[in-house]
Amino acid sequence: MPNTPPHKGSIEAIPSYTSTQEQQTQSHYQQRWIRRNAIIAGLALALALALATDVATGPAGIEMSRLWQILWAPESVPHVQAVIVWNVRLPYALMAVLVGAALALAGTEMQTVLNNPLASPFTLGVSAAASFGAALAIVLQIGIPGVPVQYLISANAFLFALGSVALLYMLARWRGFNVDSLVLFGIALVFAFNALVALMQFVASQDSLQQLVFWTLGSLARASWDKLIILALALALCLPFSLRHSWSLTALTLGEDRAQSFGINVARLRLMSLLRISLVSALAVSFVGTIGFIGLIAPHIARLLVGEDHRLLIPASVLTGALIMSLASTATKVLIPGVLIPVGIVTALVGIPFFMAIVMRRQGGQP
Amino acid sequence: MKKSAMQTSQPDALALRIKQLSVGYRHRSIVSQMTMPPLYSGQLTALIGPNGAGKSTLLRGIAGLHPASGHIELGGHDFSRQPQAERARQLVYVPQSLPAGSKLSAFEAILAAAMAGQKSVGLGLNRPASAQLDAVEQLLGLLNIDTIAHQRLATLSGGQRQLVGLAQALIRRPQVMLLDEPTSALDLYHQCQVIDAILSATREHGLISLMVVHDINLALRYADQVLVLHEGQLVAHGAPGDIITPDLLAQVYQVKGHIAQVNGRYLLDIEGRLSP
Repeated sequence: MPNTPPHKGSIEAIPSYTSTQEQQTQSHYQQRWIRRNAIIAGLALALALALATDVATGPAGIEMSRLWQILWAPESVPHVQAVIVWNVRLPYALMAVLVGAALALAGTEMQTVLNNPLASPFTLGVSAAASFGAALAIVLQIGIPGVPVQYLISANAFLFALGSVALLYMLARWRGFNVDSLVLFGIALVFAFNALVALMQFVASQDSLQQLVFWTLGSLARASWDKLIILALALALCLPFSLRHSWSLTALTLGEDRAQSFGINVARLRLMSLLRISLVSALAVSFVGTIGFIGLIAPHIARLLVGEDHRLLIPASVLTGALIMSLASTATKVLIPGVLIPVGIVTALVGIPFFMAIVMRRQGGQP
Repeated sequence: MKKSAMQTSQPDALALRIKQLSVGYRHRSIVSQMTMPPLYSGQLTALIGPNGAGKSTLLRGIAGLHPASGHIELGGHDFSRQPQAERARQLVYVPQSLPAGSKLSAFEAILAAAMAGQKSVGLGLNRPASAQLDAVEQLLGLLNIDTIAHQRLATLSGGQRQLVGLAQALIRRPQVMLLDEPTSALDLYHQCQVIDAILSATREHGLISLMVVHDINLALRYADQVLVLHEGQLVAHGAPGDIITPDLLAQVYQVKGHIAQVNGRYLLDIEGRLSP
């Protein structure tokens, strides 16, 4: 059978099938696998460089060699420099990396399980809900009882972000799980929460208005070591589960019916994925405020780099998100010397051209 | 058609038996209380009927993708109560088409079908075994799509995508294959290519294949057995040449036509619509 073309009298020349060709097909796949892993390694290297640059950048000029000394032997340098690096620059830079990674992970899984290239924590209302939660705490001092004052805003933002995903899921469950309606609900949530935030701004006092506006811009200056540890733990908890289901997620990109006929419990996969998404994205947004476009764009860039096999796509996307955030974080310090621009402004500015390019590609490429 | 008669008479052949099957929601069943003749291994059965007759719904019900009640028995075991993962091990459903915009390559898509549902404990180390890579390659060769193995699905033609979908089904080594209009929207050449592939897989692997088709001539030419569905009911079943008659065409399709016999093969000749 393999050596004879099955269609007699066909006009097209069908190449005959040989075992050497078989080997070629397989080795081609292996080569591509190695090449794509190399891309991921390259992203990791770029991230390490970006992180180092970010830590080395700041108003207090500290040389690279000094930096090394501060990191490994903080006792041997002037106290002020050690404090700057350990209490300001490192949390700031590491927070950028973790938030970028968290938003990219959430965006990747959202786009896959909702089968929509526009899905992200930002476009489906998670960020807007978090802003409203923060607004309640800032303007009306309404918060969760028992939460320490310094965590009031973050706790509120987290609760609302988590709640928005739960609401999204329940609304969609209510009339059977229809992915398209879920995305529409998400967009409705964005508008609803934005209106509520606007209402809060309207009734806010001068002081709290300024605070609220600053919060919604998104800033890494809120980073602290305890927040870093919480976000790192959440990522360490979620990422292995995402990778564990990477084959199922890959199969899901080929359609819900097909995935289900391969024995995948799609409803369960979706629910577990949404739980992971809500945890990491709610934490990220509640710690640093609204950061647009990273969750949307990082998965698309990663897809262009390594394709749609989620064993590669998830790590590539996480690294891409972290890299863009790290670069944006450096940019916040150098764009206007002496002024720390909120990172949310920078990511949106960097994000929009990327976003337009993707939209153009989609229109040009596919019917 | 003689071949099918021979196979049907094999008493020990693996059979899919469907009894009293209702598919749909509680108050709105689209297929109700259907009992089908047994479907045997190595046989290709065509499911025909007008639009809205419930053909796709029936297939989805058997595959467990649509709520259904009744008996679905494979080799004496009732598997209608089995969890989806268990059912998917024996039965595979092939939807109409693969998404046209996918960035997966044909190779990756087929591999994903083999690996779907597999989880690993290690961090991202869920690598396929070399036996699985071999199986993907073998299928690519068998279906003559090895030259497009590393192209993105988005760049393939409809016929090539359909063959990739078929390879995805075959790599799972099912006993039952349910195909929803595998030849729709394909040109003649690719229709023949896809049906040839389905038929040879059915014969060689002893599959029980049930396929929805709209083209009656394809059913006449390739199917061992035909089931005719009309308004959620099975109205006729048997060898294609025996049951596709002018009466049936008039009753089910409201079309006037007859079956001609050319060189020992059956051909549908349509005169036109029946005026109401």
